[in-house]
Amino acid sequence: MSQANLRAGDTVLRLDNITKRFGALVANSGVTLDLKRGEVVALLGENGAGKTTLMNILFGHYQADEGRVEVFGQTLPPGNPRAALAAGVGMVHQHFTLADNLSVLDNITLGTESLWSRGKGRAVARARIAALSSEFGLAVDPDARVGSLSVGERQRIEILKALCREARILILDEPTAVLTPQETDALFDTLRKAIALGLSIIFISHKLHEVMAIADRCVVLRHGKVVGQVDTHATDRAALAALMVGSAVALPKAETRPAGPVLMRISKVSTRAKGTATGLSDLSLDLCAGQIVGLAGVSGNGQAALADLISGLLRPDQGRIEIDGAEPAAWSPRQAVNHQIARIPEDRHKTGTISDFNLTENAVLEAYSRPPFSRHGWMNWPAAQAFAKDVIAKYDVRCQGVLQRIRLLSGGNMQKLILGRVLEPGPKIILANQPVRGLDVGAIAYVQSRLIAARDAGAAVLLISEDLDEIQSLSDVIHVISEGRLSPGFARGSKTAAELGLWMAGQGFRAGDHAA
Amino acid sequence: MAVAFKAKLWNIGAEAQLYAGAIVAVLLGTGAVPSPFVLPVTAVFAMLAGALVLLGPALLKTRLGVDEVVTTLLFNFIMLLFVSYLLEGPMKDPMGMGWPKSEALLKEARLPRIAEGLRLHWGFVLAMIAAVVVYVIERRTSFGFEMRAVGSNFGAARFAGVPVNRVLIQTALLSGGLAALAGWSEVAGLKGHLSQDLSPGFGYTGIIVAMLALLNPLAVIGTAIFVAGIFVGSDAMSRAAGVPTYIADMLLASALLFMVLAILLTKMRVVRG
Repeated sequence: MSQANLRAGDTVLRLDNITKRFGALVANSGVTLDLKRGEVVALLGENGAGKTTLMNILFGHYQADEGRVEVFGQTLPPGNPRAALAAGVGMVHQHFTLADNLSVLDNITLGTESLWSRGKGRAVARARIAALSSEFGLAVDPDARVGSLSVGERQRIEILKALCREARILILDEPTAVLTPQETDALFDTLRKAIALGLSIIFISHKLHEVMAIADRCVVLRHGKVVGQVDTHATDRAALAALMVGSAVALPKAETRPAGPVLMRISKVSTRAKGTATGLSDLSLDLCAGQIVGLAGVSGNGQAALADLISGLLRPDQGRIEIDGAEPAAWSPRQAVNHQIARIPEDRHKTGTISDFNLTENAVLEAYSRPPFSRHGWMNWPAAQAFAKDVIAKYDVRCQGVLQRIRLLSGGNMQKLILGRVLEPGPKIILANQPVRGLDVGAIAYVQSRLIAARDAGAAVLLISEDLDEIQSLSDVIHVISEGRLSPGFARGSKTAAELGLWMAGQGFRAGDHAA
Repeated sequence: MAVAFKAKLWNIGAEAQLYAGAIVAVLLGTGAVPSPFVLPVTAVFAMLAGALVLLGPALLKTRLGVDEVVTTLLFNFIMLLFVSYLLEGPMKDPMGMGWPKSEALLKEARLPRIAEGLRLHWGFVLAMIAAVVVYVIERRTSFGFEMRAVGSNFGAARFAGVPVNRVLIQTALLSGGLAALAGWSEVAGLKGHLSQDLSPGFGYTGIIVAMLALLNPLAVIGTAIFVAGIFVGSDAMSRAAGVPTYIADMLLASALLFMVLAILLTKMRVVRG
């Protein structure tokens, strides 16, 4: 193919004046984008700015209304993913497209092998995977079952899959959203090797510091239009954030405050491991009024169990929980709600909302059984709608009305509705599990400022996050969780990132050592 | 049936609940209850019996996680054999010339016809009322809200504090009760006695009706009439023109398949390539 003798700096991909409309909504309007050989271009923009639409057009999932896509100088037929694949465009989706019950090798060869010469194809593929893994530093075991691999490893397989199909242009859709800092670093190493070998990369992300770290150039989309193209070494995070939302955004910074009385006490709680989820081991934690407790840790070290415990889904096998000094009689989600615990779940699509329900129904999902939303078993829909309208107005949920199905909302607006649902009753305790994951800068600032406001109003907040920056800018007290054990708490700023990293890896603090 | 499916409780055992209702109708309708109250009393007890039949599978599901498709389906056979035992034994009509059927209901225990000369009886009206009542429950009550929440997203419903197990069991009771009411009305309105061929698979037809109606209780009325029309029509066709009655099964099966396919296709996008 002609692409082999391209030199660095030659244009490999050109999106020319792309316009795409969905009914009245203009998702992309005259977007032009060039990608050069060996270059990383970051595509930035808030949710709904048109990034995903643009990539779907490039990859042939959608047909553009106007404009064309040129790869290696040739125009791609519109609406044909196979043509895009054949031209050397590989996409790694935010949500992986792997079959859990197949091996790594099967996943990579799936859809490419011919029916008849399966055995031979597999041997070739195996050799190819081995070669590519060493070339790009992507260590994987081709015979491992995908279901048993970590998120970071699965992403490596997605990248390998694209490389195996001769991809010369990689599109990564929010690749770091699910990764730990260490995995992110490993990913960036891989990407740098890929660039050195002459690949080109489009990198979609919200995280500005990552964009600054890896990208050569940033293209900023807003409301479907390109509002800025800047070289990363000639700009900074604040300028990029301002471009994205159209005005300067300051992420809220909370001043630390002295703690009030203990509202919830978890003492020496252990829970069994469930499936692949780590249990808790002899964990004690106090949540105090007017304080944000940050829980740092690598994903899968017991955060889920602790969140389930506080949300009422899980009961302690050993130890006890106390709310306002008394042990709750029976522990269930309903009890947690009744004890004025606001719960912001990790997965707003699966556990936070019911996607087929409308905004009103989702707004009263926790409180439907109480007046004024229902009396003697009869729903009072006008009251529920009034509440939903109130939440929409107060929490700036952008939607078409209270009867719209929630599945049509963007992640940020969905999260704002959940926030309104749980904060409006005036909770005493707030469990915020990854409250800003996958949100854009504007929504992140909004959610965080709401949490700080709730803390200032006297609520005890537990913030669980894999983003160390978030933990360190919001928390009054920080704990690290590792293999179900909790580190002693320490004030924000009193430990360096390196020390924290060691604790996150399970070294440096002893179990049961809870001197705060 | 549509009730249970709404909560994603796969009640395949309406046949069994239907017979349970029919048994109670005959047990109580042949002189055990004083005549002025016999209709409401038998109806209520029939519903209780049907609910009880589905209670077992529902408890097995919520307590032990046993798949309700299997348990409810198997209950159909248990109940059919039980009916066969009753008809050959304790409930056999002594005047029945040896046919396996029960004593006939008293006149007071039977539902009157809507008009003389029609086979249409008040059970039809009752079914319509039941459909409307179910619709109101689903849309206007907090129990209906819980039911829909559990059916749409079990995890989110549980997280939000919906008492999911209680909802599943209550839904089972309602669904079983309604199926039994159908059995009761079949006996009290049409047949007048219990026999083994009381239901030519009404419990299974109910699945088709519920799915074709997209689980909407009001749509169930129209769908049920449509499906019934096809079945009765096929009988008439077979008598008049010799067309096999299986044509009805085929029609409905293909209707269901096309329907499911149409739902699937509206959710997906066909990609060339």
